[in-house]
Amino acid sequence: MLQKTPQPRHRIWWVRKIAQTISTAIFLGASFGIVRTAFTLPILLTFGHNDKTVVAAFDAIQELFAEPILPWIPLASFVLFGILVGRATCGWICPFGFLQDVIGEVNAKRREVSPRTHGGSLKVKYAILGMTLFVSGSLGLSLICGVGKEYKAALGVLARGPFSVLSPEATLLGLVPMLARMTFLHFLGVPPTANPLSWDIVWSRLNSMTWLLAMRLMILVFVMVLSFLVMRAWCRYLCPAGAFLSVFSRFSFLGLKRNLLKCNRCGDCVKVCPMLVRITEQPWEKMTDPECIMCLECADACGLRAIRPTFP
Amino acid sequence: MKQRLLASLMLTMGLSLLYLGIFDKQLGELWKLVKVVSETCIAGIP
Repeated sequence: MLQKTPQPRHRIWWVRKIAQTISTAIFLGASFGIVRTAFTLPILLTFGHNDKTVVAAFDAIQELFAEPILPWIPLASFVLFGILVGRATCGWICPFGFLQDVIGEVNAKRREVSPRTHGGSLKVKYAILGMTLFVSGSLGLSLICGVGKEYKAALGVLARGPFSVLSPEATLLGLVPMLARMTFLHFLGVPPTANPLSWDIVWSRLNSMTWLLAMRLMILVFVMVLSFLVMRAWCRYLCPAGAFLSVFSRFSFLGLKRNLLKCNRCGDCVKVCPMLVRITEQPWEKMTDPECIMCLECADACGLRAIRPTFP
Repeated sequence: MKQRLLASLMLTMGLSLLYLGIFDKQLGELWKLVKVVSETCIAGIP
């Protein structure tokens, strides 16, 4: 029987953490002189963050449909990234994914959900994706046909982004820092010259939408608590951008290969997988599970070096 | 083999969408939209 060989722990883990830190700093770093671009990536990064340097494809789809413009580039971003690297953007560069990792790793005694609950909950993100695309798509098409003005008015704040207005990521990276900054400036008596919105305008708008503000904060708290208890809970069960990517990632060129001569089916890879992918039950020659975020924790954990990324 | 074929078809579809977007000058539109939304909305709330 093959014996496990000693291996440096967390080798790929460190590389991934550095990549996540650098990408988050670059994506949110316009204040530090990083150039703002319209480069569209399939990650979660709210339009409401003033210091962003790239565009989040899922937010762009919703915003463009509301204009109405058919969102070719954001759709291309999902298809191309999904086909080329699967959900690796979730595991390696998404700022909200990074936050999920950090919160999950703080809690050493995190729980694991039962396979039945896990299997059922996986479908929730597809439902969120379907609802968002249905509302945004139907609005966009009706506006293009010239019959959607009443529909847009009826949707109200949901018209520009049925998902974005409730997204915990937008609340955390957009609303909370903005409120903190405005409050700080207000109590210091400094006029917020850098932002065209004054405290009074912000306060009156938020007061007129107290229900929305309360709901957003509740969703944020719920997601944070869930992420503390269950590793990558948002990415596993709720993220519509991840769901959209996974439609294409099952055909991805990038995948994982398990060497059958080395693998003794010890299950170490399954235990460390943050997305609960049952790696030992996947095809050994190439695994492209729609839930796999290519974090390579399994490759790190395998003492026999049986798991390796493969392309194409 | 079937998976490779589907992947190639989807890659072609993605590149076609990208071409349509660039042909439609959508990057410019997107850039304008990002600027406007960033300056006038409160974290996604118009």
